[in-house]
Amino acid sequence: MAKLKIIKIGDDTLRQKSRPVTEVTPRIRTLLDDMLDTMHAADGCGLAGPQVGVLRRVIVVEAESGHPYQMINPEILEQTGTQNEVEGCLSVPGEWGKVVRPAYVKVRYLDKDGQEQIVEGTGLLARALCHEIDHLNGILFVDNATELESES
Amino acid sequence: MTSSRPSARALAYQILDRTEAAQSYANLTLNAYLNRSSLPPLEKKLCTRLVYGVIEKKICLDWRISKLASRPIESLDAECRILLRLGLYQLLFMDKIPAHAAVNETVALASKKKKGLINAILRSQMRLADKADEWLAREDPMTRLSVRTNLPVPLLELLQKTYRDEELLDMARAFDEDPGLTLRIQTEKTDPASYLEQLKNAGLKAEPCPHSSCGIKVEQTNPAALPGFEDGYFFVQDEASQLCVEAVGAKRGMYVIDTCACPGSKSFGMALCMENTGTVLSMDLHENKLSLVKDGALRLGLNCLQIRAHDGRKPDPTLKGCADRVLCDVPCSGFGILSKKPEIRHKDVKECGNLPSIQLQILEAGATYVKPGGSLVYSTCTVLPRENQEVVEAFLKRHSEFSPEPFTVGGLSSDERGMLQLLPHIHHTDGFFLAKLTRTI
Repeated sequence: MAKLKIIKIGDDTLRQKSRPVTEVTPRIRTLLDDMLDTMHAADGCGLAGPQVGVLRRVIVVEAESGHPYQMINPEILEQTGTQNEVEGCLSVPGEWGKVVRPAYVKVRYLDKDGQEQIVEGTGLLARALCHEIDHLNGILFVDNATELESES
Repeated sequence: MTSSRPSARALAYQILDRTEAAQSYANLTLNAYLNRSSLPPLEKKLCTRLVYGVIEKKICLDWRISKLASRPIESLDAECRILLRLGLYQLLFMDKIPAHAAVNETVALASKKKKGLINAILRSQMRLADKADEWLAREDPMTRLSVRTNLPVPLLELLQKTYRDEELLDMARAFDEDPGLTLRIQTEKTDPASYLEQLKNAGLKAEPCPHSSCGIKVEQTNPAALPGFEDGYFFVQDEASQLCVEAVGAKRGMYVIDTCACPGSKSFGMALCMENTGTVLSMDLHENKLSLVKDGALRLGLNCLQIRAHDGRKPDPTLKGCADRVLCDVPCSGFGILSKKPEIRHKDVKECGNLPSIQLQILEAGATYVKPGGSLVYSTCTVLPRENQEVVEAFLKRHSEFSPEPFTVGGLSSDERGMLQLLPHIHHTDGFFLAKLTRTI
């Protein structure tokens, strides 16, 4: 596994729409492992393809330590309620803000073996799933955040 | 994505883990980690509160954990121990954190195998919260006192020689209070009344110190953020230290020696009593720490300070009999400043056993500098008689040329032996000792 470089806000890559993965190749599997590694090293709880310069619909999320999700072509099927909590982003270091997210989401995705899976999440997991799927559509949390707080 | 709330706890966990493993001081580790971390300011505050809180209440937390888990705390591994302390601290002492959040977010930090145990113990606390008094009543008196004061048994055994149990409970409660910040006003640049006005105009809660006439207590933790810091309108100094400086009684044009000066606040106070005339010779063992004194003097605009490195235990023959006043603010166990440095309580009292002989050596070296008719002041920030009264008594036995000089400062009087023990629960200052002696010949 390898640690990848995380692209920071200002880079145009973060603003583009990612393409779906058509075939789960060994390269995609390696990418997902590297992304998990990168996220752990940066103390994050989610990371999306564009953040490491790959415009493919892949994300990793670990809302509860020891329970990582590596997801291909994630898609929100259902969402209910709202929550408004503080979040940050590895591509926007030193900035924090509240984002209104659904309280519950149901997401369909392909796992590393290309099998279709469903995950349902509330709380941090729901927030992280939405945050990462936003990345795949070129959206950053600062676009919708309120009460922005910066490190300095 | 990065999430902020669990990270404050995760960072607190890492810091406590590091501190325990390396047996290092929490403040150093905390600063190093906080500087590196990208947590937002509010989360950093939570992290600081958790780290200091757990250290302060460790004895009581560990006792409860051992009861809830029905086994000694030592039988749990470091991960469980530290996470349980963190979770329990939030449950017991942080009203603003809902119980379910305290439990869930602590469990979330645990590795897979430990989650079940930690969850079970924290939930049993929620269920059995009101059993604690019953359990405590069944403990032996020493354990009970230790749990209630959060002071370790060996330290209590030492303190019990001087203080009654009720007094120790009061003292421990006083140590738990937020010390806030106490300032000594640079009276050459401004006066306490107008600076107090300035603080209030800036929307800060501040009030004059009850005993020290040049002191102000302010509800704020970062002195550099207060008005007039750059202009040197004040420096940070506990009221007890301000009273110590007043007891020295330095006056215009005198020659004064501060034998253990770092970080310099008492030297600054004496220079101000002397209206920045005469000389304050500020010495300290560590050359590298003297820059603190230099920087402070520069900021405050005090140029009557001479600063140099010298081992306080060794008399400097060139200074013999030349000083009007000598202050020996000796290194000590620090058991009087637990409200500011909660981790000191966990220091091994045995390791502090050789302090009295060092303290006596420093006092004897300092004594050689005093002119006939001049005064010698001895001070510590501890409440243990073996470092206080006993050192001064041993000194007086060996030096008939000195006699006690009773004094009154800020409305507080020493005893007839010229000694004053300030106590946090009585005087609302640090625990601080001072003694004043005169050279008669």
